[in-house]
Amino acid sequence: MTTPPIIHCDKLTKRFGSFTAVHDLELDLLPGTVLGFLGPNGAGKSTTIRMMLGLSKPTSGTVRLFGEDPLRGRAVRARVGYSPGELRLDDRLTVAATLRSWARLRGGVDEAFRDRLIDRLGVQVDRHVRGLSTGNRRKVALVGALMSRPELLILDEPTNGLDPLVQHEFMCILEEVTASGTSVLLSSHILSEVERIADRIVVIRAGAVVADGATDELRRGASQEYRAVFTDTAPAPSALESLSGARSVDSPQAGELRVQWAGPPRELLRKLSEYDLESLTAPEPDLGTAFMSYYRNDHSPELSERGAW
Amino acid sequence: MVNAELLNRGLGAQRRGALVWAIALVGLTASVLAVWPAMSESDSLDSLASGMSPELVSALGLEALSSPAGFLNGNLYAIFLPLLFAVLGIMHMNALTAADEDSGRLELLLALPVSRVSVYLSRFVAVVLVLIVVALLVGATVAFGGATLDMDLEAAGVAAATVSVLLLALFHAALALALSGAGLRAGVVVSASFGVLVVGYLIYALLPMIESFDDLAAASPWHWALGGQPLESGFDGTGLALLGGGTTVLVLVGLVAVRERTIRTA
Repeated sequence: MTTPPIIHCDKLTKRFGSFTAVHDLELDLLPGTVLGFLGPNGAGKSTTIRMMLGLSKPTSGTVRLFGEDPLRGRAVRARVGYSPGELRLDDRLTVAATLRSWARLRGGVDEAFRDRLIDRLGVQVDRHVRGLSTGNRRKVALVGALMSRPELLILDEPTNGLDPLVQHEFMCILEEVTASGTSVLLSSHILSEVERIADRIVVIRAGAVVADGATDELRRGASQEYRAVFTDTAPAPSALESLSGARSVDSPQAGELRVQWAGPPRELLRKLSEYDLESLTAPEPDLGTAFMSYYRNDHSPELSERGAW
Repeated sequence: MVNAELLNRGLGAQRRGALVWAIALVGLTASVLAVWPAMSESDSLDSLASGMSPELVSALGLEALSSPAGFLNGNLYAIFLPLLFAVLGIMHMNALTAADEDSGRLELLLALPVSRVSVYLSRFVAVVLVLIVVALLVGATVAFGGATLDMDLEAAGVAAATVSVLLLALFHAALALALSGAGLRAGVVVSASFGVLVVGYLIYALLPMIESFDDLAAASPWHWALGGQPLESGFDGTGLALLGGGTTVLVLVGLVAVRERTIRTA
Protein backbone atom coordinates (compact mmCIF):
# COMPACT_ATOMS: atom_id res chain seq x y z
CA MET A 1 0.00 0.00 0.00
CA THR A 2 1.46 3.37 -1.02
CA THR A 3 1.47 6.39 1.30
CA PRO A 4 -1.07 8.97 0.16
CA PRO A 5 0.55 12.27 -0.87
CA ILE A 6 0.18 15.32 1.35
CA ILE A 7 -0.30 17.50 -1.70
CA HIS A 8 -1.85 16.03 -4.80
CA CYS A 9 -2.51 18.03 -7.96
CA ASP A 10 -4.29 16.32 -10.83
CA LYS A 11 -4.54 18.11 -14.18
CA LEU A 12 -4.64 21.37 -12.26
CA THR A 13 -5.42 24.30 -14.54
CA LYS A 14 -5.91 27.99 -13.87
CA ARG A 15 -6.90 30.48 -16.53
CA PHE A 16 -7.27 34.23 -16.19
CA GLY A 17 -9.37 35.16 -19.21
CA SER A 18 -7.49 33.94 -22.26
CA PHE A 19 -4.20 33.59 -20.32
CA THR A 20 -3.39 30.13 -18.98
CA ALA A 21 -1.30 30.50 -15.83
CA VAL A 22 -1.22 26.80 -14.93
CA HIS A 23 -1.90 24.01 -17.40
CA ASP A 24 -2.71 20.39 -16.54
CA LEU A 25 -0.22 20.41 -13.68
CA GLU A 26 0.46 17.06 -12.01
CA LEU A 27 2.33 17.14 -8.73
CA ASP A 28 2.61 15.01 -5.59
CA LEU A 29 4.36 15.77 -2.32
CA LEU A 30 4.94 12.67 -0.23
CA PRO A 31 5.00 12.80 3.59
CA GLY A 32 8.36 13.65 5.12
CA THR A 33 9.92 14.82 1.88
CA VAL A 34 11.08 18.17 0.55
CA LEU A 35 9.91 19.17 -2.89
CA GLY A 36 11.80 21.92 -4.69
CA PHE A 37 9.42 23.87 -6.89
CA LEU A 38 11.34 25.74 -9.55
CA GLY A 39 10.49 27.89 -12.50
CA PRO A 40 11.22 31.29 -14.00
CA ASN A 41 9.23 34.39 -13.06
CA GLY A 42 5.64 34.06 -14.23
CA ALA A 43 5.92 30.29 -14.61
CA GLY A 44 2.85 29.74 -12.42
CA LYS A 45 4.52 28.72 -9.13
CA SER A 46 2.70 31.19 -6.90
CA THR A 47 -0.61 30.59 -8.69
CA THR A 48 -0.21 26.86 -8.05
CA ILE A 49 0.64 27.47 -4.39
CA ARG A 50 -2.41 29.72 -4.00
CA MET A 51 -4.62 26.91 -5.35
CA MET A 52 -2.99 24.47 -2.92
CA LEU A 53 -3.99 26.77 -0.06
CA GLY A 54 -7.53 27.32 -1.27
CA LEU A 55 -6.90 31.00 -2.03
CA SER A 56 -7.51 30.55 -5.73
CA LYS A 57 -10.17 28.42 -7.36
CA PRO A 58 -8.88 26.07 -10.08
CA THR A 59 -10.46 26.48 -13.51
CA SER A 60 -10.30 22.70 -13.88
CA GLY A 61 -8.55 19.75 -12.33
CA THR A 62 -8.22 19.06 -8.63
CA VAL A 63 -5.89 19.87 -5.79
CA ARG A 64 -5.94 17.98 -2.50
CA LEU A 65 -4.21 18.92 0.72
CA PHE A 66 -4.05 16.02 3.17
CA GLY A 67 -6.75 14.42 0.99
CA GLU A 68 -9.14 17.38 1.31
CA ASP A 69 -10.24 20.20 -0.93
CA PRO A 70 -8.35 23.21 0.53
CA LEU A 71 -11.06 25.60 -0.66
CA ARG A 72 -13.59 23.95 1.66
CA GLY A 73 -11.46 22.45 4.42
CA ARG A 74 -10.62 25.20 6.90
CA ALA A 75 -9.23 22.72 9.43
CA VAL A 76 -6.70 21.36 6.97
CA ARG A 77 -4.92 24.72 6.92
CA ALA A 78 -4.13 24.29 10.63
CA ARG A 79 -1.64 21.64 9.49
CA VAL A 80 0.13 24.01 7.10
CA GLY A 81 2.66 26.77 7.67
CA TYR A 82 2.80 29.25 4.79
CA SER A 83 5.17 32.03 3.90
CA PRO A 84 4.01 33.87 0.76
CA GLY A 85 6.31 35.25 -1.91
CA GLU A 86 4.65 38.67 -1.92
CA LEU A 87 4.50 39.57 1.73
CA ARG A 88 1.85 42.02 2.95
CA LEU A 89 1.67 42.34 6.72
CA ASP A 90 -0.64 44.59 8.73
CA ASP A 91 1.40 47.78 9.17
CA ARG A 92 -0.69 48.91 12.14
CA LEU A 93 0.56 46.14 14.42
CA THR A 94 3.84 45.51 16.18
CA VAL A 95 5.73 42.34 15.37
CA ALA A 96 4.77 40.87 18.76
CA ALA A 97 1.07 41.68 18.19
CA THR A 98 1.25 40.18 14.69
CA LEU A 99 2.70 36.91 15.99
CA ARG A 100 0.24 36.86 18.91
CA SER A 101 -2.69 37.35 16.57
CA TRP A 102 -1.54 34.57 14.22
CA ALA A 103 -1.02 32.30 17.23
CA ARG A 104 -4.59 32.93 18.44
CA LEU A 105 -6.03 32.28 14.99
CA ARG A 106 -3.88 29.22 14.37
CA GLY A 107 -3.75 27.63 17.80
CA GLY A 108 -1.27 24.99 18.91
CA VAL A 109 1.75 27.27 18.93
CA ASP A 110 4.84 25.96 20.69
CA GLU A 111 5.86 29.16 22.50
CA ALA A 112 9.31 27.96 23.50
CA PHE A 113 10.02 26.96 19.90
CA ARG A 114 8.64 30.29 18.66
CA ASP A 115 10.94 32.18 21.05
CA ARG A 116 13.93 30.17 19.84
CA LEU A 117 13.02 30.98 16.23
CA ILE A 118 12.74 34.68 17.10
CA ASP A 119 16.14 34.52 18.71
CA ARG A 120 17.86 32.58 15.93
CA LEU A 121 16.46 34.70 13.11
CA GLY A 122 16.99 37.95 15.00
CA VAL A 123 13.37 39.09 14.85
CA GLN A 124 12.77 42.49 16.50
CA VAL A 125 9.47 41.83 18.24
CA ASP A 126 8.97 45.28 19.77
CA ARG A 127 9.07 47.16 16.48
CA HIS A 128 6.10 48.23 14.40
CA VAL A 129 5.70 46.27 11.19
CA ARG A 130 5.52 49.49 9.16
CA GLY A 131 9.12 50.32 10.09
CA LEU A 132 10.55 46.95 9.07
CA SER A 133 12.68 46.28 6.01
CA THR A 134 11.68 43.59 3.52
CA GLY A 135 14.09 41.15 5.13
CA ASN A 136 12.80 41.78 8.63
CA ARG A 137 9.21 41.36 7.45
CA ARG A 138 10.25 38.08 5.85
CA LYS A 139 11.64 36.88 9.20
CA VAL A 140 8.28 37.59 10.85
CA ALA A 141 6.48 35.55 8.19
CA LEU A 142 8.94 32.67 8.59
CA VAL A 143 8.46 32.58 12.36
CA GLY A 144 4.69 32.64 11.74
CA ALA A 145 4.93 29.72 9.33
CA LEU A 146 7.16 27.61 11.57
CA MET A 147 5.96 28.40 15.10
CA SER A 148 3.17 25.84 15.31
CA ARG A 149 5.44 23.04 14.06
CA PRO A 150 3.10 22.30 11.12
CA GLU A 151 3.12 18.98 9.29
CA LEU A 152 3.56 20.81 6.00
CA LEU A 153 5.48 23.97 5.17
CA ILE A 154 4.70 25.82 1.95
CA LEU A 155 7.45 28.37 1.43
CA ASP A 156 7.34 30.70 -1.56
CA GLU A 157 10.74 32.36 -2.05
CA PRO A 158 11.39 32.16 1.72
CA THR A 159 14.83 33.77 1.73
CA ASN A 160 13.94 36.77 -0.44
CA GLY A 161 15.40 39.85 1.23
CA LEU A 162 17.27 37.98 3.96
CA ASP A 163 20.95 38.71 4.48
CA PRO A 164 23.36 35.78 3.91
CA LEU A 165 23.80 35.05 7.62
CA VAL A 166 20.06 34.84 8.24
CA GLN A 167 19.62 32.84 5.04
CA HIS A 168 22.14 30.34 6.37
CA GLU A 169 20.46 30.20 9.77
CA PHE A 170 17.06 29.72 8.17
CA MET A 171 18.35 26.85 6.03
CA CYS A 172 19.75 25.23 9.17
CA ILE A 173 16.34 25.56 10.84
CA LEU A 174 14.70 24.12 7.75
CA GLU A 175 17.04 21.15 7.78
CA GLU A 176 16.21 20.56 11.45
CA VAL A 177 12.45 20.64 10.93
CA THR A 178 12.64 18.41 7.85
CA ALA A 179 14.79 15.97 9.81
CA SER A 180 11.94 15.74 12.32
CA GLY A 181 9.53 14.71 9.55
CA THR A 182 8.00 17.97 8.34
CA SER A 183 7.13 17.94 4.65
CA VAL A 184 8.14 21.02 2.67
CA LEU A 185 7.19 22.54 -0.64
CA LEU A 186 9.99 24.98 -1.32
CA SER A 187 9.60 27.42 -4.17
CA SER A 188 12.82 29.30 -4.72
CA HIS A 189 15.03 30.92 -7.30
CA ILE A 190 18.10 30.24 -5.20
CA LEU A 191 19.13 26.95 -6.65
CA SER A 192 21.80 26.17 -4.09
CA GLU A 193 19.09 26.28 -1.41
CA VAL A 194 16.89 23.85 -3.27
CA GLU A 195 19.82 21.61 -4.15
CA ARG A 196 20.88 21.49 -0.51
CA ILE A 197 17.56 20.40 0.90
CA ALA A 198 15.18 19.03 -1.75
CA ASP A 199 14.66 15.30 -2.22
CA ARG A 200 12.69 15.90 -5.36
CA ILE A 201 12.34 18.74 -7.81
CA VAL A 202 9.55 19.86 -10.08
CA VAL A 203 10.39 22.45 -12.71
CA ILE A 204 7.51 24.33 -14.28
CA ARG A 205 7.56 26.65 -17.21
CA ALA A 206 4.64 28.49 -18.77
CA GLY A 207 2.37 26.76 -16.25
CA ALA A 208 3.33 23.20 -17.19
CA VAL A 209 5.71 20.70 -15.62
CA VAL A 210 8.86 20.32 -17.72
CA ALA A 211 10.83 18.18 -15.28
CA ASP A 212 9.92 16.11 -12.26
CA GLY A 213 12.35 13.84 -10.53
CA ALA A 214 14.75 13.19 -7.69
CA THR A 215 17.34 15.95 -7.33
CA ASP A 216 20.23 13.67 -8.36
CA GLU A 217 18.24 12.33 -11.28
CA LEU A 218 17.53 15.82 -12.48
CA ARG A 219 21.14 16.83 -12.12
CA ARG A 220 22.23 13.80 -14.15
CA GLY A 221 19.59 14.43 -16.78
CA ALA A 222 20.82 17.92 -17.48
CA SER A 223 23.27 18.60 -20.26
CA GLN A 224 26.88 18.26 -19.09
CA GLU A 225 29.64 20.63 -19.94
CA TYR A 226 32.88 19.07 -21.29
CA ARG A 227 36.05 21.09 -21.66
CA ALA A 228 38.53 19.67 -24.17
CA VAL A 229 42.06 21.04 -24.51
CA PHE A 230 44.10 19.96 -27.53
CA THR A 231 47.88 19.79 -27.83
CA ASP A 232 47.76 21.37 -31.25
CA THR A 233 44.85 22.95 -33.09
CA ALA A 234 41.34 22.31 -31.87
CA PRO A 235 38.84 20.94 -34.38
CA ALA A 236 36.28 23.37 -35.75
CA PRO A 237 33.11 23.46 -33.61
CA SER A 238 31.13 22.38 -36.65
CA ALA A 239 32.91 19.02 -36.47
CA LEU A 240 31.08 18.28 -33.20
CA GLU A 241 27.85 20.22 -33.67
CA SER A 242 26.44 17.53 -35.94
CA LEU A 243 26.65 14.91 -33.19
CA SER A 244 23.27 13.97 -31.75
CA GLY A 245 24.14 14.76 -28.11
CA ALA A 246 25.68 18.15 -28.77
CA ARG A 247 23.64 21.07 -27.48
CA SER A 248 26.24 23.75 -28.10
CA VAL A 249 29.90 23.91 -29.02
CA ASP A 250 32.15 26.91 -28.69
CA SER A 251 35.80 27.70 -28.68
CA PRO A 252 36.68 30.16 -25.88
CA GLN A 253 40.33 30.23 -26.94
CA ALA A 254 42.69 28.61 -29.41
CA GLY A 255 43.18 24.91 -28.75
CA GLU A 256 40.11 24.59 -26.53
CA LEU A 257 36.48 23.56 -27.00
CA ARG A 258 33.56 23.69 -24.62
CA VAL A 259 30.75 21.29 -25.39
CA GLN A 260 27.30 21.14 -23.78
CA TRP A 261 26.34 17.50 -24.12
CA ALA A 262 23.15 15.63 -23.26
CA GLY A 263 23.17 11.90 -22.64
CA PRO A 264 25.97 9.31 -22.48
CA PRO A 265 29.26 10.76 -23.79
CA ARG A 266 30.38 7.67 -25.77
CA GLU A 267 29.88 9.31 -29.17
CA LEU A 268 31.64 12.49 -28.03
CA LEU A 269 34.64 10.58 -26.68
CA ARG A 270 34.93 8.61 -29.91
CA LYS A 271 34.94 11.82 -31.94
CA LEU A 272 37.43 13.60 -29.66
CA SER A 273 39.80 10.64 -29.82
CA GLU A 274 40.28 11.39 -33.51
CA TYR A 275 42.18 14.55 -32.47
CA ASP A 276 45.28 15.28 -30.40
CA LEU A 277 43.50 15.58 -27.06
CA GLU A 278 45.59 16.87 -24.16
CA SER A 279 42.92 16.87 -21.45
CA LEU A 280 39.19 16.43 -21.03
CA THR A 281 37.42 17.74 -17.93
CA ALA A 282 33.77 17.60 -16.94
CA PRO A 283 32.78 19.63 -13.87
CA GLU A 284 30.15 18.08 -11.62
CA PRO A 285 26.86 19.42 -12.96
CA ASP A 286 25.03 21.47 -10.35
CA LEU A 287 21.36 22.21 -10.24
CA GLY A 288 21.96 25.55 -11.88
CA THR A 289 23.15 23.81 -15.01
CA ALA A 290 20.15 21.50 -14.89
CA PHE A 291 17.82 24.38 -14.25
CA MET A 292 19.13 26.42 -17.17
CA SER A 293 19.02 23.31 -19.30
CA TYR A 294 15.34 22.75 -18.53
CA TYR A 295 14.58 26.41 -19.06
CA ARG A 296 16.26 26.32 -22.42
CA ASN A 297 13.84 23.59 -23.49
CA ASP A 298 16.53 20.98 -23.99
CA HIS A 299 14.05 18.49 -22.60
CA SER A 300 10.72 19.72 -23.81
CA PRO A 301 10.57 20.34 -27.54
CA GLU A 302 6.79 20.37 -27.41
CA LEU A 303 6.90 23.45 -25.17
CA SER A 304 9.36 25.29 -27.35
CA GLU A 305 6.98 24.81 -30.25
CA ARG A 306 4.35 26.67 -28.22
CA GLY A 307 6.74 29.57 -28.01
CA ALA A 308 5.34 30.42 -24.62
CA TRP A 309 8.23 32.58 -23.42
CA MET B 1 -19.00 32.16 13.31
CA VAL B 2 -17.82 35.47 14.81
CA ASN B 3 -14.21 34.99 15.86
CA ALA B 4 -13.09 37.03 18.88
CA GLU B 5 -9.58 37.61 17.52
CA LEU B 6 -10.85 38.68 14.10
CA LEU B 7 -13.41 40.96 15.75
CA ASN B 8 -10.71 42.46 17.94
CA ARG B 9 -8.46 43.08 14.93
CA GLY B 10 -11.40 44.56 13.02
CA LEU B 11 -12.07 46.98 15.86
CA GLY B 12 -8.38 47.82 16.18
CA ALA B 13 -8.14 48.59 12.48
CA GLN B 14 -11.01 51.08 12.78
CA ARG B 15 -9.87 52.71 16.03
CA ARG B 16 -8.39 55.91 14.65
CA GLY B 17 -10.97 56.38 11.91
CA ALA B 18 -13.82 55.76 14.33
CA LEU B 19 -12.41 58.31 16.77
CA VAL B 20 -12.19 60.98 14.07
CA TRP B 21 -15.71 60.21 12.84
CA ALA B 22 -17.10 60.26 16.39
CA ILE B 23 -15.49 63.64 17.13
CA ALA B 24 -16.72 65.06 13.80
CA LEU B 25 -20.30 63.82 14.15
CA VAL B 26 -20.63 64.76 17.82
CA GLY B 27 -19.09 68.15 16.98
CA LEU B 28 -21.56 68.69 14.13
CA THR B 29 -24.48 67.70 16.34
CA ALA B 30 -23.34 69.92 19.19
CA SER B 31 -22.84 72.85 16.80
CA VAL B 32 -26.35 72.54 15.41
CA LEU B 33 -27.79 72.30 18.92
CA ALA B 34 -25.80 75.34 20.02
CA VAL B 35 -27.43 77.43 17.31
CA TRP B 36 -30.97 76.60 18.49
CA PRO B 37 -31.36 79.29 21.21
CA ALA B 38 -30.52 82.04 18.73
CA MET B 39 -32.63 80.57 15.93
CA SER B 40 -35.66 79.87 18.15
CA GLU B 41 -35.93 83.57 18.94
CA SER B 42 -35.83 84.50 15.28
CA ASP B 43 -39.00 84.70 13.18
CA SER B 44 -37.15 84.00 9.98
CA LEU B 45 -37.05 80.18 10.23
CA ASP B 46 -40.56 79.49 8.97
CA SER B 47 -40.30 82.13 6.30
CA LEU B 48 -37.16 80.36 4.98
CA ALA B 49 -39.29 77.67 3.38
CA SER B 50 -42.30 79.81 2.59
CA GLY B 51 -41.46 80.24 -1.08
CA MET B 52 -40.83 76.54 -1.71
CA SER B 53 -43.26 73.85 -2.85
CA PRO B 54 -44.47 71.50 -0.07
CA GLU B 55 -42.68 68.56 -1.77
CA LEU B 56 -39.34 70.41 -1.83
CA VAL B 57 -39.80 71.51 1.77
CA SER B 58 -40.41 67.90 2.71
CA ALA B 59 -37.45 66.70 0.61
CA LEU B 60 -35.10 69.05 2.39
CA GLY B 61 -36.61 68.38 5.82
CA LEU B 62 -37.55 72.01 6.28
CA GLU B 63 -41.06 71.44 7.68
CA ALA B 64 -41.82 73.18 10.95
CA LEU B 65 -38.33 74.59 11.30
CA SER B 66 -39.33 76.76 14.19
CA SER B 67 -40.19 73.75 16.35
CA PRO B 68 -37.28 71.96 18.12
CA ALA B 69 -38.01 68.65 16.37
CA GLY B 70 -38.39 70.37 12.98
CA PHE B 71 -35.16 72.30 13.52
CA LEU B 72 -33.22 69.13 14.35
CA ASN B 73 -34.82 67.27 11.49
CA GLY B 74 -33.95 69.95 8.96
CA ASN B 75 -30.40 70.45 10.18
CA LEU B 76 -29.38 66.92 11.19
CA TYR B 77 -31.71 63.96 10.74
CA ALA B 78 -33.12 64.62 7.26
CA ILE B 79 -29.83 64.66 5.34
CA PHE B 80 -26.57 65.21 7.20
CA LEU B 81 -26.57 62.46 9.81
CA PRO B 82 -27.99 59.71 7.52
CA LEU B 83 -25.56 60.66 4.78
CA LEU B 84 -22.49 60.86 7.02
CA PHE B 85 -23.32 57.69 8.96
CA ALA B 86 -23.81 55.78 5.70
CA VAL B 87 -20.49 57.12 4.37
CA LEU B 88 -18.82 55.98 7.60
CA GLY B 89 -20.35 52.51 7.25
CA ILE B 90 -19.35 52.17 3.59
CA MET B 91 -15.79 53.43 4.11
CA HIS B 92 -15.06 51.22 7.10
CA MET B 93 -16.66 48.12 5.60
CA ASN B 94 -14.76 48.65 2.37
CA ALA B 95 -11.46 49.14 4.24
CA LEU B 96 -11.92 45.84 6.09
CA THR B 97 -12.91 43.80 3.04
CA ALA B 98 -12.20 44.91 -0.54
CA ALA B 99 -9.35 47.30 0.32
CA ASP B 100 -7.78 44.67 2.58
CA GLU B 101 -7.93 42.19 -0.28
CA ASP B 102 -6.50 44.73 -2.76
CA SER B 103 -3.57 45.33 -0.42
CA GLY B 104 -2.77 41.60 -0.29
CA ARG B 105 -3.20 41.38 3.50
CA LEU B 106 -6.30 39.19 3.27
CA GLU B 107 -4.34 36.43 1.52
CA LEU B 108 -2.04 35.78 4.46
CA LEU B 109 -4.98 35.82 6.89
CA LEU B 110 -7.00 33.36 4.79
CA ALA B 111 -4.06 30.97 4.63
CA LEU B 112 -4.57 30.51 8.38
CA PRO B 113 -7.23 28.08 9.62
CA VAL B 114 -10.04 30.64 9.56
CA SER B 115 -13.06 30.55 7.29
CA ARG B 116 -13.80 33.37 4.90
CA VAL B 117 -17.33 33.58 6.30
CA SER B 118 -15.91 34.06 9.78
CA VAL B 119 -13.53 36.79 8.56
CA TYR B 120 -16.27 38.71 6.75
CA LEU B 121 -18.88 38.25 9.47
CA SER B 122 -16.48 39.26 12.26
CA ARG B 123 -15.51 42.37 10.32
CA PHE B 124 -19.14 43.25 9.67
CA VAL B 125 -19.83 42.97 13.39
CA ALA B 126 -16.80 45.20 14.04
CA VAL B 127 -18.30 47.88 11.77
CA VAL B 128 -21.71 47.43 13.41
CA LEU B 129 -20.15 47.99 16.84
CA VAL B 130 -18.35 51.14 15.69
CA LEU B 131 -21.58 52.51 14.17
CA ILE B 132 -23.51 51.70 17.35
CA VAL B 133 -20.97 53.50 19.54
CA VAL B 134 -20.93 56.58 17.29
CA ALA B 135 -24.75 56.54 17.11
CA LEU B 136 -24.96 56.31 20.91
CA LEU B 137 -22.63 59.29 21.25
CA VAL B 138 -24.62 61.35 18.74
CA GLY B 139 -27.95 60.30 20.27
CA ALA B 140 -26.67 61.13 23.75
CA THR B 141 -25.44 64.52 22.50
CA VAL B 142 -28.90 65.29 21.08
CA ALA B 143 -30.66 64.10 24.24
CA PHE B 144 -28.31 65.96 26.59
CA GLY B 145 -28.24 69.10 24.43
CA GLY B 146 -32.01 69.06 24.01
CA ALA B 147 -32.52 68.77 27.77
CA THR B 148 -29.98 71.50 28.51
CA LEU B 149 -31.53 73.88 25.99
CA ASP B 150 -35.12 73.07 27.03
CA MET B 151 -36.00 71.84 23.57
CA ASP B 152 -38.64 69.52 24.98
CA LEU B 153 -37.68 66.63 22.70
CA GLU B 154 -39.36 63.23 23.04
CA ALA B 155 -36.75 60.68 24.12
CA ALA B 156 -38.50 58.02 22.01
CA GLY B 157 -38.30 60.31 18.98
CA VAL B 158 -34.57 60.93 19.40
CA ALA B 159 -34.01 57.20 19.90
CA ALA B 160 -36.14 56.30 16.87
CA ALA B 161 -34.43 58.84 14.60
CA THR B 162 -30.96 57.74 15.74
CA VAL B 163 -31.79 54.05 15.29
CA SER B 164 -33.20 54.79 11.82
CA VAL B 165 -30.01 56.59 10.84
CA LEU B 166 -27.96 53.71 12.26
CA LEU B 167 -29.93 51.09 10.33
CA LEU B 168 -29.63 53.08 7.10
CA ALA B 169 -25.86 53.12 7.61
CA LEU B 170 -25.83 49.38 8.33
CA PHE B 171 -27.80 48.74 5.14
CA HIS B 172 -25.16 50.55 3.07
CA ALA B 173 -22.29 48.90 4.98
CA ALA B 174 -23.92 45.55 4.17
CA LEU B 175 -24.13 46.60 0.53
CA ALA B 176 -20.38 47.30 0.57
CA LEU B 177 -19.83 43.88 2.17
CA ALA B 178 -21.92 42.17 -0.53
CA LEU B 179 -20.01 43.91 -3.33
CA SER B 180 -16.65 43.09 -1.70
CA GLY B 181 -17.76 39.50 -1.24
CA ALA B 182 -18.51 39.33 -4.96
CA GLY B 183 -14.87 40.24 -5.61
CA LEU B 184 -15.13 43.88 -6.72
CA ARG B 185 -12.15 46.13 -6.15
CA ALA B 186 -12.22 48.76 -3.41
CA GLY B 187 -12.73 51.71 -5.75
CA VAL B 188 -15.69 50.03 -7.41
CA VAL B 189 -17.22 49.01 -4.06
CA VAL B 190 -17.05 52.58 -2.74
CA SER B 191 -18.34 54.12 -5.97
CA ALA B 192 -21.24 51.68 -6.30
CA SER B 193 -22.22 51.98 -2.62
CA PHE B 194 -22.11 55.78 -2.74
CA GLY B 195 -24.11 55.63 -5.97
CA VAL B 196 -26.85 53.60 -4.29
CA LEU B 197 -26.79 55.99 -1.32
CA VAL B 198 -27.21 59.09 -3.49
CA VAL B 199 -29.72 57.55 -5.91
CA GLY B 200 -31.68 56.29 -2.89
CA TYR B 201 -31.83 59.83 -1.54
CA LEU B 202 -32.89 61.28 -4.90
CA ILE B 203 -35.67 58.69 -5.22
CA TYR B 204 -36.83 59.43 -1.68
CA ALA B 205 -36.56 63.20 -1.89
CA LEU B 206 -37.25 64.15 -5.49
CA LEU B 207 -39.62 61.56 -6.98
CA PRO B 208 -42.55 62.65 -4.75
CA MET B 209 -42.44 65.97 -6.65
CA ILE B 210 -43.42 64.11 -9.84
CA GLU B 211 -46.98 62.91 -9.48
CA SER B 212 -46.74 59.73 -11.54
CA PHE B 213 -43.57 58.57 -9.73
CA ASP B 214 -44.37 59.48 -6.14
CA ASP B 215 -45.13 55.87 -5.15
CA LEU B 216 -41.61 54.85 -6.13
CA ALA B 217 -40.19 56.77 -3.19
CA ALA B 218 -41.29 53.88 -1.00
CA ALA B 219 -38.62 51.72 -2.71
CA SER B 220 -35.80 53.84 -1.28
CA PRO B 221 -33.91 52.77 1.87
CA TRP B 222 -34.06 56.45 2.86
CA HIS B 223 -37.84 56.21 2.88
CA TRP B 224 -37.69 53.08 5.02
CA ALA B 225 -35.51 54.94 7.50
CA LEU B 226 -37.01 58.43 7.50
CA GLY B 227 -40.35 58.22 5.70
CA GLY B 228 -42.20 57.71 8.98
CA GLN B 229 -40.75 60.94 10.46
CA PRO B 230 -39.18 59.07 13.42
CA LEU B 231 -38.13 62.22 15.32
CA GLU B 232 -41.76 63.29 15.63
CA SER B 233 -43.60 59.98 15.35
CA GLY B 234 -41.23 57.50 16.97
CA PHE B 235 -40.31 54.04 15.67
CA ASP B 236 -41.66 52.94 12.29
CA GLY B 237 -41.77 49.15 12.55
CA THR B 238 -42.26 48.51 8.85
CA GLY B 239 -39.41 50.77 7.78
CA LEU B 240 -37.03 49.34 10.35
CA ALA B 241 -38.01 45.78 9.40
CA LEU B 242 -37.32 46.54 5.74
CA LEU B 243 -33.91 48.00 6.59
CA GLY B 244 -33.08 45.08 8.89
CA GLY B 245 -34.27 42.53 6.32
CA GLY B 246 -32.39 44.22 3.49
CA THR B 247 -29.23 44.37 5.58
CA THR B 248 -29.52 40.67 6.45
CA VAL B 249 -30.02 39.69 2.81
CA LEU B 250 -27.02 41.77 1.68
CA VAL B 251 -24.78 40.28 4.38
CA LEU B 252 -25.84 36.76 3.36
CA VAL B 253 -25.14 37.56 -0.30
CA GLY B 254 -21.65 38.77 0.63
CA LEU B 255 -20.91 35.70 2.77
CA VAL B 256 -22.08 33.25 0.11
CA ALA B 257 -20.22 35.11 -2.66
CA VAL B 258 -16.88 35.18 -0.85
CA ARG B 259 -16.89 31.53 0.20
CA GLU B 260 -15.29 29.87 -2.80
CA ARG B 261 -14.06 32.55 -5.13
CA THR B 262 -10.45 33.35 -5.98
CA ILE B 263 -8.87 35.89 -3.62
CA ARG B 264 -7.07 38.65 -5.51
CA THR B 265 -3.34 39.13 -5.19
CA ALA B 266 -1.93 42.59 -4.52
